[in-house]
Amino acid sequence: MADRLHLDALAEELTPFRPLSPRLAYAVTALYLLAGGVFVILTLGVRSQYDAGLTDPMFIIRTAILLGLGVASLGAVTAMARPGVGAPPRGWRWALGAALLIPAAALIAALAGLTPAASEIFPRDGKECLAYSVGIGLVLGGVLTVWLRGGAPVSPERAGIVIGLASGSFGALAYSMHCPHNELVYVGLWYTLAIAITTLLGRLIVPRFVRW
Amino acid sequence: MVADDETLARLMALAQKGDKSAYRKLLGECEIWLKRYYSRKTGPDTLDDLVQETLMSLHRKRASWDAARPFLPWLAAIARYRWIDHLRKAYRNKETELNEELVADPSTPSITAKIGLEQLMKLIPERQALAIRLVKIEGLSIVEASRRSGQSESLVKVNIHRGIKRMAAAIEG
Repeated sequence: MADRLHLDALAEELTPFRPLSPRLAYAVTALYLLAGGVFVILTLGVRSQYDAGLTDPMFIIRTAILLGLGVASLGAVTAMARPGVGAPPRGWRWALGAALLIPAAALIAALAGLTPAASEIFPRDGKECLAYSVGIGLVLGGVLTVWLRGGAPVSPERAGIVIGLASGSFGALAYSMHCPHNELVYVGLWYTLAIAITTLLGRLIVPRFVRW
Repeated sequence: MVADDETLARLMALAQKGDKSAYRKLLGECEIWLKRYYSRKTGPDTLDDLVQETLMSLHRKRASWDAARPFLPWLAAIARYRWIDHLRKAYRNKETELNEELVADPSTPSITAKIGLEQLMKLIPERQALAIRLVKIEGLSIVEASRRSGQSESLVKVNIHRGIKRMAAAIEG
């Protein structure tokens, strides 16, 4: 009887409700990415090599990889909000694998002496890259975490990882509007580090907020 | 007989519009489905609690159902999550009692729960399964499990932790 009353009480609480909308997460992220890019341009200026940079192969590859990783990870976040038994989203793993080619290639080139690694690190710019990419990424990570709390992620740890990857990728993408460097070692080091930091923080912090 | 996915999805779609009677019917059907689901995984001592907790989760997370997808995989995912959470809590409770002498009572109904656990333990390395078996199932203390397995005390704890984590990952897919 107590059981029946319990279910009756739950049903009595019901009011019309809207299903969780992934579009909202996509729209908020797109707007935030735009705002992040504008913020970077206003505070740091546009890429100093912008004319050449638009057609520079590294700029194109970097933008495509960051966008691909960000979108695939964001897709995983939205899929996790609405659980279901079956194949979990794996696109983000492929995108991550593709993104890791950059630091791997940089490492190989540096070790093989194909590129003057020490002169391509640019630590001052690199620290700026980290501060902006991680800073912008962390705010986005917070926004996505709040959105995901409305969903039902069944793997909070994995949710933390994909939120960290998405926020780091988009943070780095926003910063790349200013980034004057196209060197393989620079991109392989600082961009990878920025995404690694947000991913680690996502893995450590997000699960406690999205558990239910 | 449990309602089919189409019926459940239809009831949930009505519930989204605020139809309390459809929602009440849906909860009743889900209760039957969950009792069946958990009866293969856990003992009768925890079955009712798990069903109640899952129904509460369904209620709190109802906005996470996507009307474009089938209903039962969504319900199953919530049920699995609650089950894993239950295993974690059970493990944590055990951990707080690690310094006490724990003796498993083979006559308890939780014996049936061990069947599901044994299936899961086939998915993890033997050393982790052994640590879980000794402490979680046989009820040995960490010190005793360490002596029995030849693993150090800290290794027993690590193997239990990692084993539970792996099993959870296996369930979560």
